[in-house]
Amino acid sequence: MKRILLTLLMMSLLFLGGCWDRTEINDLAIITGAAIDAADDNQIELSVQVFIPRALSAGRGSTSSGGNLTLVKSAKGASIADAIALLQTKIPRKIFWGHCEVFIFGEDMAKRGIAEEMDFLVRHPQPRERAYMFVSKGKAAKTLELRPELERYSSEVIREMSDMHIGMLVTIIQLKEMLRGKSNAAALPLIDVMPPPNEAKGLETAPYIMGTAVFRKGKMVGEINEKATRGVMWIRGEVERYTVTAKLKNVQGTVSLNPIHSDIKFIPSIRNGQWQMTIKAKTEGDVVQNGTNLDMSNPEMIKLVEKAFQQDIEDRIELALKQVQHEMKADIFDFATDFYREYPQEWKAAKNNWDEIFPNVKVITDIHAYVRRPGLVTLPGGIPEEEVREK
Amino acid sequence: MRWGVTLGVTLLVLLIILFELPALRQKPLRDKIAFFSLLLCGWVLAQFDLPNMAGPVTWLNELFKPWGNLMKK
Amino acid sequence: MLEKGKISAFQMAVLMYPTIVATALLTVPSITAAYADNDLWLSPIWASLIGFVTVLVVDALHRRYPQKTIIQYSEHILGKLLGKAFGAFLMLLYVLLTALVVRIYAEFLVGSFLTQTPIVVVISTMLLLCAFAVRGGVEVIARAATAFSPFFVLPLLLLIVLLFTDFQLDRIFPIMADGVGPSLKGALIPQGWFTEYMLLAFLLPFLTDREKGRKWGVLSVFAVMLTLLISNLIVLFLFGTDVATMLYPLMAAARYVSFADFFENLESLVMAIWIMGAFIKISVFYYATALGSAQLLNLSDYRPIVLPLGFLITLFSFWSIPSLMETSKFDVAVFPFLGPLVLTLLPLLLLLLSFVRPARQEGKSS
Repeated sequence: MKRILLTLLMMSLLFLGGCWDRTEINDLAIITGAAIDAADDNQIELSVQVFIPRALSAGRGSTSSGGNLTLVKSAKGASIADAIALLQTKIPRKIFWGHCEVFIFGEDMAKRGIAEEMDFLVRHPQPRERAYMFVSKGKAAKTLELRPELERYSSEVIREMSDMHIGMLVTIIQLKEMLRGKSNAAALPLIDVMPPPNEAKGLETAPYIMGTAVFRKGKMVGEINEKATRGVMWIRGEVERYTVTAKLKNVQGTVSLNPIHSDIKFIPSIRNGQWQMTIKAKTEGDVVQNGTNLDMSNPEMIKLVEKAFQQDIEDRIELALKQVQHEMKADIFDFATDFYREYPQEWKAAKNNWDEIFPNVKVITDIHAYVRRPGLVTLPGGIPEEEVREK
Repeated sequence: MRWGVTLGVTLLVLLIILFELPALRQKPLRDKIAFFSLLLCGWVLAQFDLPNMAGPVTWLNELFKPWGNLMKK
Repeated sequence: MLEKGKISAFQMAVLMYPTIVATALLTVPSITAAYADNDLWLSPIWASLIGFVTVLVVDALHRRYPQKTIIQYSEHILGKLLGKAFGAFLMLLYVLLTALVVRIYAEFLVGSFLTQTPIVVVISTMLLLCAFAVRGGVEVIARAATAFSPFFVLPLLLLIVLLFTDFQLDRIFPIMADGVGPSLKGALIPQGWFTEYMLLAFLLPFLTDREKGRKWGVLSVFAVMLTLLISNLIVLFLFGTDVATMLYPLMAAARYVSFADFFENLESLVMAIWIMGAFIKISVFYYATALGSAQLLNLSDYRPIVLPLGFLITLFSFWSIPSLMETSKFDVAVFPFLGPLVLTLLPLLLLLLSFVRPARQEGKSS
C-alpha cells in the first residue's frame, strides 16, 4: 500500500515540474526602452529597444563605444497590445517588459492623445509603476537607435539624466495620477537628440532633456523650454541640483549660487469669488562663483546677492506662469488639488469650470532667498584687494 | 465532450479513497458514510459546467440585492 | 473531543492576524478608497468596532459553554433540530467562504505572476497543502502561523522605510471633506473581514489559558486594525485617491520601491508573504469547516473528511464564479452584509437566547 502511494506521489512530481510560467532568461527579449509613435490611419508604431545579452558577454574589447548592446525593432498596430503581438512575430524570444524603465511618446502621438496607451501601461502586470515617461521632439523611435558614448544604451542615458532632476521626472504612476487628477493637466519631460559632433558619427550621440511637454486632457498642447521648466520645477518644489546665476543690480558681473534646499508652500484662498494662490518659498544656497567685486563675507553684500537671487527665482516663476497658466491654460502645478484641500465645498461647486477659473487664478509669490555660506574664499578670487567693494 | 474532466475527477476521487482507506477501516460506519457521501457530492457537482451555472454566489447576490444596490455609486 | 491539540491564547491571536489581514491587505484598500476617497485610512477604525463586538460575543458564548464549539452549543441553545439546521447552514457558508478565499488567492497569483498557469492548479495545490496542515490539527496551524508572523509584519515596516521619500503626506487632506459619511461607507467593506473573527468560536475551546482568550482576541483585532490603517496610509501617501482604480495597491507599492538604485522590484517578496498569509487563512477556515462538519455529523474524527471537503471547496471556488469581477462583486455587494448578519448577529442572538433559556441541557453536556 505504502509503495503504491509513494509511486503515485512521485508520479505527481511529473506534473508539478512543468511549471506553466517557467521562463528562462535566455528565452526572454528584455526590453530596455520603448517608443510609441503615431502612424497613419490612427495606428501607432511601437518601437522597442531590446537588450542583446550576447553582446555583453562577447568581451569588452569588441563592445567598446559604439558597439551595439541593443537592437531596435518596430511594429505598427491599433494599440500597444496589438503592436506587441505583431512585434512578437519578429523577435525570436518572448518580449519581457519587467525591466523597461523608459517609455517615450513621439510628439505626434502626444498631440493625438496618450490616454488609450496609458491604459496598457498600468493594466499589464509587467510594466513597472516606476518606469519613466517622456515625450520626444519629433519621432520617438530615433532616440532608441542612438549609441551613446558614456552609457550602455540611450534609454539608460535619459533615465540617469532624469534621476539627476535636471528636468521633470514623471513615473507611470505619477502620470496616471496627473491624467486622472482634478487638474486635468499633465506635464512630461521633453527630450531631443543632441546633434552629433560630425556626420560620420551619425548615431553616436545621446538624447537630452530640453524642456517640458504640457498636456491638457491627455493631449499635448504645447511645450516650454528649459528655462521655463526651471520655473515650473520651482513651483512644483522639484528643484534639487541646479545652479542659479543672478545678475545684481548696478553691479558688474554675476553671482552663482547652488541652491541646496528649498521649501515651497501653496496657500490657496478664495475671496469674493477671486481665486488666489500664494506661493511661499524659502530657499537657501551657497555661493559657488562670484564674478563681481563684492566681499562675500560682508552680510550687507550678501543681502544684495539674496535680493538678486530672489528676483531671479521670481522671474523664472513668472515666466513659467505666463506660458503655462496664461497661454496653455494647463494646471500642471496642480493648484486644483490645493484648492480642493482647503475649500472642498467651493471646489465641488466649481470643479466643472476649473478650465475657466485656472487661467484667472491670481498668483502671488512670496519668496525668501538666503545665502548661507560664502564658499571656500571670502573675497573675490581674481581681483586685487583694493578693487573689492565693501559697501 | 467533458470526458476528460469526468475521468480526471474519478481518478482524483479514487486517489483520495486510496489514501484514506487504511485509516478509515477502523472508523465507525458513520464516518465512512460521511466520507463517501461527501465524495459523491463532489463527483456529481464536478460533472456540471460549474463556473457558468447559477450557484450559491448567485443566490446570495440575489438575496442581498436590495442592500448590495446601496453600495453602487 | 475531536481535537486533542492545545494552543495558547497568544498563539490564537497570532493565528487570527494573518487570517484576517492576508486578503484584507491586498484588495480592501482599493475597494475602500472607491467609497472613502482620501479618508480611506479612517475606515478600518470604524470597521474594527464590529470586530471587537464579534470577539466579545463569541467569548461570552464560550464562557457559557466552555470546551464547546459553536456547532455544539448552538444545538444546546436552539434545540436539536434548529441547532442542526443552523450548523449545516454555517458549514455550507464556511465551505463557500473558504472557496472564495482560495479563489481570490489564486486570482491574485494568476493575474499578477503566474499568467500562464491554469488557475485550477494553483487552487488545488494550495488546498492540498492546507489539507495536510488541517489534518495535523490546530497545533500545527498555530505553530506555522507563529513562525510566519514576523515575515508578515516586517515587510510592511520595510515598505514604509523604503518608500518614505516617495510619500506625499499632504494627500491626507482634506480630512473628512464630506463629513464622516464616505469613510463610514468605506468601512462597510473591511468590517466584513472583521466579522471573520467569529472563527474564534472554533479556536477558543482549545486554549490552554482560557481566561486570556478575550484579552488576546481583542488585541488581535486591534493589531489587524492598526495594520490596515497603516497599509491604507501607505497607499494613500503614495498614490493618492488613485488607489481606487488599482486592483492590488499594496503590491503596486512594493513594485514602486527603488532604493539606492539596486533595491528594487520587491513584488516577489509581496507574493511570498502573501502565499504564506493565504496558507494560514485558508488553513484556519478549512480547519473550522472540517472540525465543524465532523461535530455536526457526530463523527468520531474529522480527519477522514478533510480531503473530501477540500475537493468540495475546490468545486465551490468555481461554482457560479466565472471571473474575478464576480468575486469582487461578492466582496462589495454581499459580504459586507452577509458577514455581520451571520457571523456577528446570529452568535449575538445565540448569546441572548442562551440567557432566556438558561442552560437547559447544560448538566447533560459531556
